[in-house]
Amino acid sequence: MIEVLQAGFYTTIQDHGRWGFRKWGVPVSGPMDRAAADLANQLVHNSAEEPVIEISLQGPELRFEETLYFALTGGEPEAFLDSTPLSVNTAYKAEAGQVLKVGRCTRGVRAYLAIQGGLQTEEVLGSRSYYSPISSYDRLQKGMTLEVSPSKGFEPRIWAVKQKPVSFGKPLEVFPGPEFELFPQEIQSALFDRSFHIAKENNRMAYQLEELLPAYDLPMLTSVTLPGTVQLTTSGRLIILMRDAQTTGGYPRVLQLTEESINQLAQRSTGHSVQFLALE
Amino acid sequence: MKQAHIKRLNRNTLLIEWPDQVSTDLLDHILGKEEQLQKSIAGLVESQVVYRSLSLHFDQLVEQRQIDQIAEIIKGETGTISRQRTLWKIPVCYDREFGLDLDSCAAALQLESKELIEQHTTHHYPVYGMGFLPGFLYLGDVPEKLQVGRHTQPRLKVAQGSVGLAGKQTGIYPQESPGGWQILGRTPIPLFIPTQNPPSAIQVGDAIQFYAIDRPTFALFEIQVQEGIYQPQKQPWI
Repeated sequence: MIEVLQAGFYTTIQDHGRWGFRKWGVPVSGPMDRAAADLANQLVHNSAEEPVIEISLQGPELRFEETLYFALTGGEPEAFLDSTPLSVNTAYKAEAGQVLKVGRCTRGVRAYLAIQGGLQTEEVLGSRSYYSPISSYDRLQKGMTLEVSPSKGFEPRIWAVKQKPVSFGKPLEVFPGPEFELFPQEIQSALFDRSFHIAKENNRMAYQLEELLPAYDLPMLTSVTLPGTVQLTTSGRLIILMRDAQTTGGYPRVLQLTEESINQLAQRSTGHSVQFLALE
Repeated sequence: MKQAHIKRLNRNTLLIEWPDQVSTDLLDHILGKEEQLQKSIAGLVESQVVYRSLSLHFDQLVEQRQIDQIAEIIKGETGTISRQRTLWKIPVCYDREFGLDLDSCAAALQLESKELIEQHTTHHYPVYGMGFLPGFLYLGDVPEKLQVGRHTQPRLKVAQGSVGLAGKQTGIYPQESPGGWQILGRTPIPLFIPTQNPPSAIQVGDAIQFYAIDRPTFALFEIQVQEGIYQPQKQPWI
């Protein structure tokens, strides 16, 4: 069992998400930076489907009530096991009673904590991912306890891996969206020529961009949206849908991020720059 | 009318779009195609129909041979859904306590409030899709004389179960949320229950008809829902 002593800024549990429920309007959810989450699971030999703890900006303080292995990946948070400083991309053993304190992310905004053997938290519609009101909680709460089931006799084969640090300047690779061709040339080229900045309205559902494109009215019937779909509103606002994206939307879909681009964007926050790069 | 275009949304997802129109004939045709594709396309994890769009979600990169196979199925003229569609009868209490905009809406439509309720409960509203919020139904075919604009300033909180009008749509708020619809009443029946699988018995292609209930019946149904003994009213549709 793990006891939550402090919840952190916005800490959730995420696995690979809810599949098969789009037709009822249920978002997929899952880790914002899926590559970092998968790596955390790999370090403790979990399958990629096991849930991880997603940390945003400022991490939680957790007490391990039993001996287990864990790994931290992603946005390079300051972290201590009791008083020992920890690194990312490394597996660690915690003894019963030890306290893991995860501080601020120093590079990027999201970090992942995998627990060997996974977490036995609430499962709703085939997933343990937090998404309120599908799940009972929208984030970890102080005082909560999380059930774990560490394997007996587990020893990591590889204790640490080298990872390239999170990159903030890389352009996001995109496909043209279904409505891209319906926009005038001026708007099409502005999408790739200009540089944008992330507005303060950014969360697990969507990231809005600060700079506006020329206003252009392209009415359309509500259709399907995905994580990574870039919508362009009538007033020229760009909205990039993220992992908790609604499954339908009525704004034109100008671009579609690749999975890798979603992961990269997930490590950026208010004020960071965004550029789009067309694939092919 | 049935000419469709296949587009790639990302590596694992295809979008098939038919001409830009809202009609139950087209919806039936698309749902028929969805059924056929689900039976014959390997690796298809899930699919979604909303209005004139069908999305196909795969567990890996969609290959050209799969797209060709899908194109063949889409081209065929045949296809309408084989399952029986259901008309769901949804109880609504139109009391002023719940129907915050009933009187102002009736005035805007030049109807008596009683007439507005009669009209709203007469029609069958097809479910053209679900989305926006979990369990939110895109209900269409609202007759012209009931079409009324949204509030210019959305309410910060609209209660769960609220039933409203907005342009060509009518709908039910599946959870408390901000919203700009004109609220006529409230249903005590939750249409989306995440702890059940499937979370809703209503499917795209079904239809909704509302019927008016009084305040005591609203309270009774609320208790029946809590106790798990509420029996939804339904009948085969078309």
